[in-house]
Amino acid sequence: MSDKPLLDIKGLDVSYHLDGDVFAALRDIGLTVRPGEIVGVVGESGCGKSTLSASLLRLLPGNAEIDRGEAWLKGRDMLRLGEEELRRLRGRDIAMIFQDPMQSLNPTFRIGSQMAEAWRSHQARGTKFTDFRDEAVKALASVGIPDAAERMASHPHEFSGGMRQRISIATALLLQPSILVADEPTSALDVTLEAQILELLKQLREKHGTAIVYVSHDLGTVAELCDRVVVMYAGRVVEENDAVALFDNPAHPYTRALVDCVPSRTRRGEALATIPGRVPSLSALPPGCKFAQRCTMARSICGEEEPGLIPQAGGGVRCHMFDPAKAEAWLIGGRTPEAVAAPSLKVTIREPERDALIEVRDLRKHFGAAKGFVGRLLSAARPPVRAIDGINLTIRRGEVLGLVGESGSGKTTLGEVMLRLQAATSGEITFAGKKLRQLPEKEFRRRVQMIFQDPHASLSPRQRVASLLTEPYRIHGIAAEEQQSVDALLAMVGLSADLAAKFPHQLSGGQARRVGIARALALKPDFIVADEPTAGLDVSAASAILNLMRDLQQEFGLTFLIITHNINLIAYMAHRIAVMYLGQIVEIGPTEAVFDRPAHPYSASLLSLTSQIDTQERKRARLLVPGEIPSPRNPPAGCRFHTRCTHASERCRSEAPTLETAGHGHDVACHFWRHIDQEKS
Amino acid sequence: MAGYLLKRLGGAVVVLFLTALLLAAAVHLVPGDPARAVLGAHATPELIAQIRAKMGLDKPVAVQLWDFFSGLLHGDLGTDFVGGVPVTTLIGEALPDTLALAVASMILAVAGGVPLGIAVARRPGGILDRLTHGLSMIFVSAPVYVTSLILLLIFAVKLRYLPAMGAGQFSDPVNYLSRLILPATALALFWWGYLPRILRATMLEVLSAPYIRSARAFGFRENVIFYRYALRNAVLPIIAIFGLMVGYSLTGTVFAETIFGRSGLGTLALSAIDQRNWPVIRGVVFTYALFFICANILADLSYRVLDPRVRLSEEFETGV
Repeated sequence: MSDKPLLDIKGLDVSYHLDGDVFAALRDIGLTVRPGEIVGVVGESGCGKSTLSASLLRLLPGNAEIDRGEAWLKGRDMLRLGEEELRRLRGRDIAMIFQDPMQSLNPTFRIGSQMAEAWRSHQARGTKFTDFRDEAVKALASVGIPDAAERMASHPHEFSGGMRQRISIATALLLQPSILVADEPTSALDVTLEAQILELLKQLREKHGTAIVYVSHDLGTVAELCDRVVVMYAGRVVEENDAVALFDNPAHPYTRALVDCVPSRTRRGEALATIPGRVPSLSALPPGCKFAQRCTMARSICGEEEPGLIPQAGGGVRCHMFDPAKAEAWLIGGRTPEAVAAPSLKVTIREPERDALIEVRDLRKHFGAAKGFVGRLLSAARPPVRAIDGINLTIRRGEVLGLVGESGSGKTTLGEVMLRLQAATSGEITFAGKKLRQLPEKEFRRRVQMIFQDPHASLSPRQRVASLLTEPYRIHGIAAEEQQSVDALLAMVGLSADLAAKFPHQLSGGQARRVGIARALALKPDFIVADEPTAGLDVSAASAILNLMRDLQQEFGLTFLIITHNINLIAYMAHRIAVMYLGQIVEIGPTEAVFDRPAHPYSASLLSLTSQIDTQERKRARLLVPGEIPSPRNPPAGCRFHTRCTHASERCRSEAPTLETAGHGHDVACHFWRHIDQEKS
Repeated sequence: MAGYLLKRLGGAVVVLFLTALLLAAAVHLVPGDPARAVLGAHATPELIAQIRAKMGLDKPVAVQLWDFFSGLLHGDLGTDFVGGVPVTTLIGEALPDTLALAVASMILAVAGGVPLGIAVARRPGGILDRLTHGLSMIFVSAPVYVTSLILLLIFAVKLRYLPAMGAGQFSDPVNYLSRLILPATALALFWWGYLPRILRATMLEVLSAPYIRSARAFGFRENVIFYRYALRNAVLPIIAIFGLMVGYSLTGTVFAETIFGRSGLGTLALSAIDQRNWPVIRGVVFTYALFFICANILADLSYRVLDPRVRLSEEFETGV
């Protein structure tokens, strides 16, 4: 790795102009990228990550203006290049892949034609086109597109999200840029595909020496992938350091808070840190340190004078606390603040009761299942989608059960069928000792609630918060004396009473999610299904939601089914974990037991692929799952996982395993779990 | 694809059947007796009864309907009450002039509207954008009979650049074309106002799509991005309104033909309505409906060819 920077950004200021307001999106940004280096950029939404990544290619929207700065790439200042010179640079010297792989390819052109256009854009006129085909096929094959030569003629919609992201990477590969900017490239993908893409990025660096700027809100993937990390807050770089040093020993109070917000297995039994307030509006930034208002360490100087980037070993910190001339204000009894770090708050997770609250037996939900004789005749060629296919599950009163699995595994459908939001195709659900069929629907609806995945979409946009919160009472005709007041409901989820008069669109994602939770709690339900309760939230908002859910469980003994991709969340707060694959539970057991000794190869992979901030955890072996989840319309015969399992044998292809016990309350559906287990130890 | 086509054609047959049914019913709902219209106010009741019998109006409604549909299946639209000529012959004579006008107006509409839209989208907020924004309001809101009259007054009466009346003969192509220009322009004006606005909006939307940003990040040439990448996606909604365009042009021809004294389906229909000449009205409206439906099927099919995603969603319709 040469020390001479490939890309050197100095003192970059970028502003957005909107309706006469000026938004200071980036201020005094400095960033260097050396050849072959992977630099991570992290921060909450609204901190300028995406503006920064777009600035690296000067791909800013029309209302953005670069006020100041230099951006040296290969001896040329990009900010002073003409459009045509800049175009030649893009793709060839510095390329970019984006967050939404579903939308970053043109839907009406074949992928071969799109790659050809990228290639042609950087060839002298009259270059032979025959070279392109070979190179393109090679690039597609190297990113793992099967039958690359034939797939060149396919349109983007014929590929899955993960495959499309690979195609974007293959296009970059074709142009061999020295820097690849990846803006949240895996945010829309499952953990298995995320791991595959991250692996691909690593290979890009190993094989071609490509430097990568990796922008993400996910601290875990940044910790796993990057050599160096830049933390952004309110358009400024607030800390920069080697990845290991930064995550092991965060210096800036903001970085520290971010790291402490992330749930993980090691944090079980501790309250997660939260960051009060929100990122300030970029059009009305406070004077002084931009983080001061949310900082627990702030002193009077922080509100008056903006700190510069104070050099530290390996990087720098934008905080007065690290300025030797000002550090005095933070000395406590002659000791530095790091020495007196507050002990984390211990919390308990209440143990569940003995009796079962909800039980499902042989539950199935098939979509497009043929009804009647004629229907069956017509659909002979078209089997139904087996979204859930034979689930047995018991959740005890007061228990938190985490349900994990890739998209398409049937998690959300299971949650919805259990709440009778969708009718089951077959099977039986027992709730509080009564068969669901015998329970009046209204009573059942009052006792079970759902926290929906998209908080804004699940709240009526034309009702105020107060009306939304009392709606459950109106629907169920609850007597006034049994109702909780709006203020009390808001207080329960940690929101201030003045939000009652607001409309959903005036709420932040975290606030809307809390309103959703308060609404679910209004009827004092027994059972709550939380579908991706922290998806789309910044780490600090997510940690606050998790703290809230944990408190509620502790206080009221609420029973939760948490459906999520985020395995760290389950590790942090669930009593048990259930792993689903193609409509079936492949492993279920106490969280500790499953994390210590995952028995099913699929769960073992999922757990190993979950990105971790913790340095020790990062050294673990990562068990990549090849390929993608097959269609639930035609699940593989035998063990459904055999097509992607490295341990699969002849038996797995023909005979479906059933759940058998692998320990106390720990069941697994795998023919060879004992064998695999021995191999590991 | 074949299955889809079959489904659409089946739907078209149903729509045509309903149109025919409605038309047949209209005879009995609209006031005015064809026989009286033909014979004048002073005809004797005997004469009227005689003529009514000749027209088949004395038969029960169900029988009249049956006659109409069975005729239809043989390609027979009935006989003109007044002249005794088969309706198909009348339509066959009138159709070429109307089709020439409709097609010419659509060619003008696209040839003028699409490039204008592209030029406007190239520089949103520019002089051309602001200019067309104002003009498009006028073009879109002015009815065909107004624009026709204005064009007629300016270019034929005042300036005498172009002939005012009549459709001319195919045998004299230059004369025929010169007679098409004014009425076709009158019909195209609406689209010169409408198409650029639509195209501008879709173009700007497409240009802000993530895949355009992606293309820029890979260093695509701006011209390729604009004219190849964005345009194909932006033109798709335009194709969807092609069906509407045919409908507008066909109804527009009725006004344009009347004002410019052209022969055609429109003038044929108009005189037939005056005379309560039911078979002719039925035939003409039926022809209009046929063209309208075909145009819409054609638009949908070309949409499917150009947008590969539509093919896919069709596959999913029955599934998840």
